[in-house]
Amino acid sequence: MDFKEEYKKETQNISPTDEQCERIRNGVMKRLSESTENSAPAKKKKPLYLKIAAVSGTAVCAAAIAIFAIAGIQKSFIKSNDMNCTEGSINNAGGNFNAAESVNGSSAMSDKQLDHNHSNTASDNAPGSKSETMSNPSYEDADSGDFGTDTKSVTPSDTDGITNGDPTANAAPVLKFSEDKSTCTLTISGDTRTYRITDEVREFSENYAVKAQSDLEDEFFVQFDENRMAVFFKDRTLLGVYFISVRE
Amino acid sequence: MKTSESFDEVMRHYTPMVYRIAFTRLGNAADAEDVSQDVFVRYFRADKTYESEEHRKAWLLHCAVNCTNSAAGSAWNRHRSDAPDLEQLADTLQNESSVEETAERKETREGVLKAVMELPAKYRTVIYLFYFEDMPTARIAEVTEIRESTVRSQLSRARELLKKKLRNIWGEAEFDGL
Repeated sequence: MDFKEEYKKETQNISPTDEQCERIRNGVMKRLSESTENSAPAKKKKPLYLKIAAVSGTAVCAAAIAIFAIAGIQKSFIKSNDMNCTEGSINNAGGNFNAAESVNGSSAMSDKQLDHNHSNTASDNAPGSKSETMSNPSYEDADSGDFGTDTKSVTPSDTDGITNGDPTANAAPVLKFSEDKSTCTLTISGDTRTYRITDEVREFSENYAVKAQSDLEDEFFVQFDENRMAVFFKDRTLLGVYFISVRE
Repeated sequence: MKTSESFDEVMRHYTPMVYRIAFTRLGNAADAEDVSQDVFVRYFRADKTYESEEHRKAWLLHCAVNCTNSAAGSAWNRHRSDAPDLEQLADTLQNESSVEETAERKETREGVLKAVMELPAKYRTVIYLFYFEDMPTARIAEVTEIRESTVRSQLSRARELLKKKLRNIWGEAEFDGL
Protein backbone atom coordinates (compact mmCIF):
# COMPACT_ATOMS: atom_id res chain seq x y z
CA MET A 1 0.00 0.00 0.00
CA ASP A 2 1.37 3.38 -0.96
CA PHE A 3 0.21 5.84 1.59
CA LYS A 4 1.27 8.88 -0.34
CA GLU A 5 -0.53 7.83 -3.50
CA GLU A 6 -3.66 6.87 -1.64
CA TYR A 7 -3.63 10.06 0.37
CA LYS A 8 -3.17 12.21 -2.72
CA LYS A 9 -5.99 10.54 -4.52
CA GLU A 10 -8.25 10.87 -1.58
CA THR A 11 -7.37 14.47 -0.79
CA GLN A 12 -7.85 15.35 -4.43
CA ASN A 13 -11.50 14.56 -3.86
CA ILE A 14 -11.73 17.18 -1.17
CA SER A 15 -12.62 20.12 -3.29
CA PRO A 16 -15.44 22.57 -3.13
CA THR A 17 -18.51 21.80 -5.17
CA ASP A 18 -19.53 24.18 -7.93
CA GLU A 19 -22.11 25.58 -5.62
CA GLN A 20 -19.48 26.18 -2.94
CA CYS A 21 -17.13 27.72 -5.48
CA GLU A 22 -19.84 30.08 -6.57
CA ARG A 23 -20.57 31.04 -2.98
CA ILE A 24 -16.92 31.69 -2.28
CA ARG A 25 -16.58 33.74 -5.45
CA ASN A 26 -19.68 35.82 -4.72
CA GLY A 27 -18.63 36.32 -1.13
CA VAL A 28 -15.20 37.55 -2.19
CA MET A 29 -16.65 39.90 -4.80
CA LYS A 30 -19.17 41.27 -2.34
CA ARG A 31 -16.57 41.94 0.30
CA LEU A 32 -14.21 43.50 -2.20
CA SER A 33 -16.90 45.80 -3.56
CA GLU A 34 -17.91 46.76 -0.01
CA SER A 35 -14.35 47.58 0.84
CA THR A 36 -14.01 49.64 -2.36
CA GLU A 37 -17.13 51.62 -1.52
CA ASN A 38 -15.97 52.19 2.00
CA SER A 39 -12.39 52.85 1.08
CA ALA A 40 -12.66 56.63 1.57
CA PRO A 41 -14.12 56.47 5.09
CA ALA A 42 -11.84 53.57 5.87
CA LYS A 43 -8.89 55.84 5.35
CA LYS A 44 -10.18 58.09 8.08
CA LYS A 45 -8.91 55.94 10.84
CA LYS A 46 -9.69 56.83 14.38
CA PRO A 47 -6.68 58.30 16.05
CA LEU A 48 -4.88 55.84 18.20
CA TYR A 49 -5.35 57.48 21.55
CA LEU A 50 -2.82 55.28 23.24
CA LYS A 51 -0.20 56.38 20.75
CA ILE A 52 -1.14 60.03 21.15
CA ALA A 53 -1.04 59.68 24.91
CA ALA A 54 2.35 58.01 24.76
CA VAL A 55 3.80 60.65 22.46
CA SER A 56 2.41 63.57 24.43
CA GLY A 57 3.49 61.98 27.70
CA THR A 58 6.99 61.52 26.38
CA ALA A 59 7.05 65.13 25.20
CA VAL A 60 5.90 66.40 28.58
CA CYS A 61 8.47 64.26 30.37
CA ALA A 62 11.21 65.50 28.06
CA ALA A 63 10.17 69.10 28.62
CA ALA A 64 10.09 68.60 32.38
CA ILE A 65 13.53 67.01 32.35
CA ALA A 66 14.85 69.86 30.22
CA ILE A 67 13.37 72.47 32.56
CA PHE A 68 14.80 70.78 35.63
CA ALA A 69 18.17 70.44 33.95
CA ILE A 70 18.21 74.09 32.97
CA ALA A 71 17.11 75.12 36.45
CA GLY A 72 19.82 72.95 37.99
CA ILE A 73 22.49 74.41 35.74
CA GLN A 74 21.30 77.92 36.44
CA LYS A 75 21.26 77.27 40.15
CA SER A 76 24.76 75.86 40.15
CA PHE A 77 25.91 78.76 37.99
CA ILE A 78 24.48 81.30 40.41
CA LYS A 79 25.96 79.41 43.31
CA SER A 80 29.32 79.42 41.62
CA ASN A 81 29.04 83.13 41.04
CA ASP A 82 28.15 83.66 44.65
CA MET A 83 31.16 81.75 45.74
CA ASN A 84 33.35 83.92 43.58
CA CYS A 85 31.66 87.10 44.72
CA THR A 86 30.83 88.20 41.23
CA GLU A 87 27.54 89.40 42.60
CA GLY A 88 29.40 92.09 44.50
CA SER A 89 26.97 91.98 47.36
CA ILE A 90 28.41 93.15 50.58
CA ASN A 91 26.23 90.81 52.52
CA ASN A 92 27.61 87.91 50.55
CA ALA A 93 31.10 88.88 51.41
CA GLY A 94 31.32 86.72 54.46
CA GLY A 95 33.18 87.72 57.51
CA ASN A 96 35.73 90.04 56.07
CA PHE A 97 33.60 92.94 55.10
CA ASN A 98 31.57 92.65 58.23
CA ALA A 99 34.77 92.91 60.08
CA ALA A 100 35.62 96.01 58.14
CA GLU A 101 32.29 97.49 59.03
CA SER A 102 32.84 96.73 62.64
CA VAL A 103 35.98 98.77 62.59
CA ASN A 104 33.92 101.84 62.04
CA GLY A 105 32.13 101.34 65.26
CA SER A 106 28.92 101.17 63.34
CA SER A 107 25.88 102.31 65.27
CA ALA A 108 24.12 99.19 64.27
CA MET A 109 26.35 97.10 66.41
CA SER A 110 24.45 96.48 69.58
CA ASP A 111 25.93 96.85 73.02
CA LYS A 112 25.31 93.30 73.66
CA GLN A 113 27.25 92.32 70.67
CA LEU A 114 30.04 94.62 71.64
CA ASP A 115 30.12 93.02 75.03
CA HIS A 116 30.37 89.68 73.50
CA ASN A 117 33.13 90.82 71.31
CA HIS A 118 35.02 92.32 74.20
CA SER A 119 34.78 89.16 76.15
CA ASN A 120 36.03 87.45 73.05
CA THR A 121 35.15 83.98 74.13
CA ALA A 122 33.58 81.38 72.04
CA SER A 123 31.19 80.50 74.81
CA ASP A 124 29.44 83.84 74.55
CA ASN A 125 28.07 82.96 71.20
CA ALA A 126 25.61 80.29 70.54
CA PRO A 127 27.01 77.29 68.72
CA GLY A 128 26.63 77.73 65.03
CA SER A 129 26.01 81.46 65.26
CA LYS A 130 27.65 83.69 62.71
CA SER A 131 30.05 85.24 65.10
CA GLU A 132 31.28 81.84 66.05
CA THR A 133 31.42 80.40 62.63
CA MET A 134 32.86 83.33 60.71
CA SER A 135 36.48 82.74 60.22
CA ASN A 136 38.19 85.98 59.41
CA PRO A 137 38.43 88.68 62.03
CA SER A 138 40.42 90.74 59.59
CA TYR A 139 40.81 94.04 61.30
CA GLU A 140 41.28 92.80 64.81
CA ASP A 141 44.99 93.28 65.10
CA ALA A 142 45.05 96.34 62.95
CA ASP A 143 42.56 98.02 65.18
CA SER A 144 44.48 97.20 68.27
CA GLY A 145 47.48 98.99 66.86
CA ASP A 146 46.04 101.90 65.03
CA PHE A 147 42.60 102.60 66.24
CA GLY A 148 42.82 102.27 69.91
CA THR A 149 39.67 101.74 71.81
CA ASP A 150 37.45 99.78 69.58
CA THR A 151 39.97 97.13 68.94
CA LYS A 152 38.01 94.31 70.37
CA SER A 153 34.80 95.39 68.84
CA VAL A 154 35.87 93.98 65.52
CA THR A 155 34.12 90.77 64.82
CA PRO A 156 33.26 89.09 61.61
CA SER A 157 29.72 88.77 62.78
CA ASP A 158 26.27 90.01 62.30
CA THR A 159 25.59 91.28 58.89
CA ASP A 160 22.13 92.30 59.98
CA GLY A 161 23.48 94.72 62.50
CA ILE A 162 25.50 96.46 59.85
CA THR A 163 22.95 96.72 57.17
CA ASN A 164 20.11 97.83 59.36
CA GLY A 165 21.68 100.86 60.95
CA ASP A 166 24.11 102.40 58.51
CA PRO A 167 22.67 103.74 55.28
CA THR A 168 26.09 103.58 53.66
CA ALA A 169 26.66 100.02 54.72
CA ASN A 170 25.71 98.67 51.35
CA ALA A 171 28.11 100.95 49.50
CA ALA A 172 30.90 99.10 47.74
CA PRO A 173 34.43 99.64 49.04
CA VAL A 174 36.45 102.09 46.96
CA LEU A 175 40.10 101.57 46.21
CA LYS A 176 42.45 104.32 45.13
CA PHE A 177 45.93 103.41 44.01
CA SER A 178 49.07 105.45 43.79
CA GLU A 179 50.68 105.59 40.37
CA ASP A 180 53.06 102.73 41.02
CA LYS A 181 50.39 100.91 43.00
CA SER A 182 52.72 100.68 45.95
CA THR A 183 50.06 102.23 48.16
CA CYS A 184 46.37 102.34 48.06
CA THR A 185 43.52 103.68 50.11
CA LEU A 186 40.44 101.74 50.91
CA THR A 187 37.28 103.55 51.76
CA ILE A 188 34.47 101.62 53.30
CA SER A 189 31.40 103.46 54.47
CA GLY A 190 33.27 106.68 54.75
CA ASP A 191 36.13 105.13 56.64
CA THR A 192 39.40 105.36 54.77
CA ARG A 193 42.61 103.50 55.38
CA THR A 194 45.91 103.53 53.63
CA TYR A 195 47.69 100.34 52.73
CA ARG A 196 51.25 99.72 51.59
CA ILE A 197 52.23 96.90 49.34
CA THR A 198 54.35 94.13 50.83
CA ASP A 199 56.36 91.30 49.39
CA GLU A 200 54.66 88.95 51.70
CA VAL A 201 53.23 85.80 50.31
CA ARG A 202 50.00 84.77 51.92
CA GLU A 203 47.27 82.38 51.09
CA PHE A 204 44.03 84.17 50.37
CA SER A 205 40.85 82.53 49.41
CA GLU A 206 39.19 84.17 46.46
CA ASN A 207 35.90 82.85 47.69
CA TYR A 208 35.70 85.50 50.37
CA ALA A 209 36.80 88.40 48.24
CA VAL A 210 34.69 91.53 48.17
CA LYS A 211 34.11 93.55 45.07
CA ALA A 212 35.59 97.01 45.27
CA GLN A 213 35.35 99.97 42.94
CA SER A 214 38.53 101.61 41.76
CA ASP A 215 39.68 104.65 39.92
CA LEU A 216 41.95 102.54 37.72
CA GLU A 217 39.78 99.79 36.50
CA ASP A 218 36.17 99.00 36.79
CA GLU A 219 36.50 96.85 39.80
CA PHE A 220 38.85 94.85 41.96
CA PHE A 221 38.27 92.25 44.56
CA VAL A 222 39.73 92.62 48.02
CA GLN A 223 40.30 89.97 50.60
CA PHE A 224 41.26 90.71 54.17
CA ASP A 225 43.37 88.67 56.48
CA GLU A 226 44.21 90.28 59.79
CA ASN A 227 45.95 93.51 58.88
CA ARG A 228 46.66 92.44 55.34
CA MET A 229 44.59 92.99 52.31
CA ALA A 230 44.94 91.07 49.09
CA VAL A 231 43.79 92.85 45.98
CA PHE A 232 42.71 90.79 43.01
CA PHE A 233 42.07 91.84 39.47
CA LYS A 234 38.75 91.13 37.94
CA ASP A 235 40.13 87.94 36.42
CA ARG A 236 41.14 86.76 39.89
CA THR A 237 44.84 87.23 39.41
CA LEU A 238 46.55 88.72 42.44
CA LEU A 239 47.65 92.33 42.15
CA GLY A 240 49.40 92.30 45.48
CA VAL A 241 49.23 91.96 49.23
CA TYR A 242 48.92 95.26 51.06
CA PHE A 243 49.64 96.00 54.68
CA ILE A 244 47.56 98.49 56.62
CA SER A 245 49.47 101.59 57.49
CA VAL A 246 47.40 104.69 58.24
CA ARG A 247 43.87 105.53 59.06
CA GLU A 248 42.90 108.86 57.61
CA MET B 1 -7.08 45.48 -8.18
CA LYS B 2 -6.65 42.56 -10.47
CA THR B 3 -8.53 42.49 -13.73
CA SER B 4 -11.74 40.54 -13.94
CA GLU B 5 -10.08 37.90 -16.01
CA SER B 6 -7.27 37.32 -13.60
CA PHE B 7 -9.79 37.32 -10.76
CA ASP B 8 -11.71 34.44 -12.32
CA GLU B 9 -8.54 32.68 -13.25
CA VAL B 10 -7.07 32.92 -9.79
CA MET B 11 -10.32 31.90 -8.16
CA ARG B 12 -10.76 28.92 -10.42
CA HIS B 13 -7.20 27.75 -10.14
CA TYR B 14 -6.55 28.19 -6.46
CA THR B 15 -9.92 27.81 -4.73
CA PRO B 16 -9.60 24.01 -4.45
CA MET B 17 -6.14 24.30 -2.94
CA VAL B 18 -7.16 26.92 -0.40
CA TYR B 19 -10.39 25.10 0.44
CA ARG B 20 -8.54 21.84 0.84
CA ILE B 21 -5.97 23.15 3.27
CA ALA B 22 -8.71 24.87 5.28
CA PHE B 23 -10.86 21.76 5.32
CA THR B 24 -7.91 19.56 6.28
CA ARG B 25 -7.17 21.73 9.26
CA LEU B 26 -10.71 22.67 10.34
CA GLY B 27 -12.58 19.53 9.19
CA ASN B 28 -15.65 21.58 8.43
CA ALA B 29 -16.97 22.64 5.01
CA ALA B 30 -18.60 25.87 6.16
CA ASP B 31 -15.49 27.01 8.00
CA ALA B 32 -13.38 26.06 5.00
CA GLU B 33 -15.58 28.21 2.79
CA ASP B 34 -15.26 31.18 5.14
CA VAL B 35 -11.52 30.82 5.30
CA SER B 36 -11.32 30.55 1.50
CA GLN B 37 -13.22 33.80 1.21
CA ASP B 38 -10.90 35.50 3.68
CA VAL B 39 -7.83 34.31 1.83
CA PHE B 40 -9.01 35.57 -1.55
CA VAL B 41 -10.20 38.88 -0.16
CA ARG B 42 -6.76 39.38 1.31
CA TYR B 43 -5.16 38.28 -1.90
CA PHE B 44 -7.06 40.78 -4.04
CA ARG B 45 -6.72 43.57 -1.53
CA ALA B 46 -2.99 43.05 -1.32
CA ASP B 47 -2.79 43.58 -5.09
CA LYS B 48 0.77 42.32 -5.20
CA THR B 49 2.80 41.40 -8.22
CA TYR B 50 4.28 37.94 -8.15
CA GLU B 51 7.51 36.83 -9.75
CA SER B 52 6.07 33.46 -10.70
CA GLU B 53 3.11 31.14 -10.22
CA GLU B 54 5.13 29.38 -7.53
CA HIS B 55 5.46 32.65 -5.71
CA ARG B 56 1.74 33.29 -5.98
CA LYS B 57 0.98 29.77 -4.78
CA ALA B 58 3.36 30.14 -1.84
CA TRP B 59 1.70 33.43 -0.87
CA LEU B 60 -1.76 31.87 -1.01
CA LEU B 61 -0.65 28.82 0.96
CA HIS B 62 0.93 31.02 3.59
CA CYS B 63 -2.18 33.17 3.80
CA ALA B 64 -4.42 30.10 3.93
CA VAL B 65 -2.44 28.61 6.80
CA ASN B 66 -2.60 31.90 8.71
CA CYS B 67 -6.31 32.36 8.13
CA THR B 68 -6.96 28.75 9.07
CA ASN B 69 -4.98 29.13 12.26
CA SER B 70 -6.91 32.30 13.06
CA ALA B 71 -10.20 30.55 12.44
CA ALA B 72 -9.12 27.56 14.52
CA GLY B 73 -8.09 29.92 17.32
CA SER B 74 -11.36 31.82 17.29
CA ALA B 75 -13.54 31.70 20.36
CA TRP B 76 -16.14 29.58 18.58
CA ASN B 77 -13.70 26.95 17.36
CA ARG B 78 -11.77 26.84 20.59
CA HIS B 79 -14.89 25.58 22.35
CA ARG B 80 -15.64 23.06 19.71
CA SER B 81 -14.20 19.59 19.26
CA ASP B 82 -11.03 19.47 17.27
CA ALA B 83 -12.21 16.35 15.48
CA PRO B 84 -13.38 16.85 11.91
CA ASP B 85 -16.93 16.36 10.82
CA LEU B 86 -16.51 12.87 9.40
CA GLU B 87 -20.05 12.65 8.09
CA GLN B 88 -19.42 15.74 6.07
CA LEU B 89 -16.15 14.28 4.93
CA ALA B 90 -17.91 11.12 3.82
CA ASP B 91 -20.46 13.19 1.92
CA THR B 92 -17.72 15.09 0.20
CA LEU B 93 -15.98 11.96 -0.79
CA GLN B 94 -19.21 10.28 -1.83
CA ASN B 95 -19.81 12.98 -4.38
CA GLU B 96 -16.39 12.59 -5.85
CA SER B 97 -16.12 8.81 -5.97
CA SER B 98 -16.40 7.06 -9.26
CA VAL B 99 -19.18 4.60 -9.74
CA GLU B 100 -16.92 1.81 -10.94
CA GLU B 101 -14.77 1.80 -7.86
CA THR B 102 -15.09 -1.32 -5.80
CA ALA B 103 -16.44 -1.06 -2.31
CA GLU B 104 -13.24 -2.52 -0.83
CA ARG B 105 -11.02 -0.10 -2.67
CA LYS B 106 -13.21 2.77 -1.67
CA GLU B 107 -13.07 1.74 1.95
CA THR B 108 -9.29 1.61 1.86
CA ARG B 109 -8.93 5.06 0.36
CA GLU B 110 -11.46 6.62 2.65
CA GLY B 111 -9.67 4.94 5.52
CA VAL B 112 -6.48 6.79 4.67
CA LEU B 113 -8.10 10.17 4.68
CA LYS B 114 -10.12 9.34 7.76
CA ALA B 115 -6.94 8.31 9.55
CA VAL B 116 -5.32 11.60 8.62
CA MET B 117 -8.33 13.61 9.63
CA GLU B 118 -8.34 11.91 13.01
CA LEU B 119 -4.85 13.18 13.71
CA PRO B 120 -4.42 16.21 15.96
CA ALA B 121 -5.13 19.38 13.98
CA LYS B 122 -1.57 20.67 14.04
CA TYR B 123 -0.32 17.49 12.34
CA ARG B 124 -2.90 17.56 9.58
CA THR B 125 -1.58 20.74 7.96
CA VAL B 126 1.97 19.43 7.96
CA ILE B 127 0.88 16.08 6.51
CA TYR B 128 -1.12 17.86 3.80
CA LEU B 129 1.73 20.13 2.78
CA PHE B 130 4.28 17.34 2.83
CA TYR B 131 2.35 14.56 1.12
CA PHE B 132 -0.10 16.42 -1.05
CA GLU B 133 1.76 19.59 -1.99
CA ASP B 134 5.10 17.75 -2.02
CA MET B 135 6.74 20.54 -0.12
CA PRO B 136 10.09 19.98 1.59
CA THR B 137 10.22 20.58 5.32
CA ALA B 138 12.10 23.86 4.87
CA ARG B 139 9.30 25.28 2.71
CA ILE B 140 6.68 23.96 5.13
CA ALA B 141 8.53 25.77 7.90
CA GLU B 142 8.34 29.01 5.90
CA VAL B 143 4.67 28.62 5.09
CA THR B 144 3.60 27.66 8.58
CA GLU B 145 6.06 29.97 10.31
CA ILE B 146 7.37 27.28 12.58
CA ARG B 147 10.89 25.92 12.85
CA GLU B 148 12.00 23.26 10.47
CA SER B 149 12.97 20.99 13.33
CA THR B 150 9.44 21.33 14.67
CA VAL B 151 8.06 20.47 11.26
CA ARG B 152 10.18 17.34 11.17
CA SER B 153 9.19 16.27 14.64
CA GLN B 154 5.52 16.90 13.87
CA LEU B 155 5.83 14.83 10.72
CA SER B 156 7.51 12.06 12.60
CA ARG B 157 4.84 11.94 15.30
CA ALA B 158 2.09 12.14 12.72
CA ARG B 159 3.58 9.19 10.86
CA GLU B 160 3.75 7.12 14.00
CA LEU B 161 0.13 7.84 14.77
CA LEU B 162 -0.87 7.15 11.17
CA LYS B 163 0.88 3.81 11.17
CA LYS B 164 -1.07 2.73 14.20
CA LYS B 165 -4.33 3.81 12.68
CA LEU B 166 -3.61 2.34 9.26
CA ARG B 167 -2.69 -1.04 10.73
CA ASN B 168 -6.28 -1.27 11.80
CA ILE B 169 -7.38 -0.80 8.20
CA TRP B 170 -4.61 -2.36 6.18
CA GLY B 171 -3.50 -4.96 8.65
CA GLU B 172 0.21 -5.69 8.87
CA ALA B 173 0.91 -4.73 5.28
CA GLU B 174 3.99 -2.72 4.49
CA PHE B 175 3.38 0.99 4.23
CA ASP B 176 5.14 2.57 1.32
CA GLY B 177 5.63 6.27 1.19
CA LEU B 178 4.96 6.89 4.86
